[in-house]
Amino acid sequence: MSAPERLSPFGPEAKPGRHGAAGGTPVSITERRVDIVQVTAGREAEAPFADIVKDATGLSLPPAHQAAFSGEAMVVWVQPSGWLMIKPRGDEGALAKALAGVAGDAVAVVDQSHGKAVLRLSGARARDVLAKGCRVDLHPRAFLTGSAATTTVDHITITVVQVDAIPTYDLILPANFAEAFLEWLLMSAAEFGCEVRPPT
Amino acid sequence: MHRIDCPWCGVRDEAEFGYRGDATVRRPAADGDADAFYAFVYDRTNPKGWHVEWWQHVAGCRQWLKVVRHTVTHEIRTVAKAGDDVRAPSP
Repeated sequence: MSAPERLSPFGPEAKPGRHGAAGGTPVSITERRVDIVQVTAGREAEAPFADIVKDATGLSLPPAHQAAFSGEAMVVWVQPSGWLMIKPRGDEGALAKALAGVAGDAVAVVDQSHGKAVLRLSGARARDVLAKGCRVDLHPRAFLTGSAATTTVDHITITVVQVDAIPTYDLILPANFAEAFLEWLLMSAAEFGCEVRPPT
Repeated sequence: MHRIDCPWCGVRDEAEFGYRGDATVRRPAADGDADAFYAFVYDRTNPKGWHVEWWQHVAGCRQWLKVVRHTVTHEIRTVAKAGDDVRAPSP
């Protein structure tokens, strides 16, 4: 018997369609269905683990406040010696298992695929939408493609990653606050108009 | 609102941090007597002036930080990593 299909943590609000003001330059919001694994390396384990990740994914572990990308895969710095590894959804637990298999005992590997959710916010006004609730300076002089920061938006702790210069942001948030956060995001985006796209 | 210069994340709003108490208190040795442990848990100097405090960047990098803060003016003079040796300036 196969496992039941996983429900979206974003709830009914995530139904694809147009929200807010008509016309203008709408932003787009897309749920990214991904596997997320948090890895935390012991101090001496960081250098060998960086080599392992490089071999396995071709990605270098990014330095503080940075994310590294390779196609649809992403590694995000979240704390000293701590990263989130993100890949398109595969077999249940496979990414964590693969990492745990090569990481060694001094690296903690925790599967967060059910614990966290990812929204992609994109569009010319995406910065304005996010800035209404974000305490981190998102101006291009301070926050660029590849920048990552963990902060609070609407009292919810989220990690903001800038993916490109449109700008596009990936917002990594606790899955149990996903619906509440999406409500805030739709309200914030209402003045520009907003297109909720089918999950990818 | 304090602005705390996290050594890992840069200047952030106080709302991202949690206050975690007096950073000058030292845990007694495991064979310490009851009075020593009572003092460790309850006795605080509560200074009017410079104070070395634990703050945790809860909604950020989650690291514990040592913050030197003036309890009257709220001026923050130093924000250091947990392992750093930080002393309060003389009043």
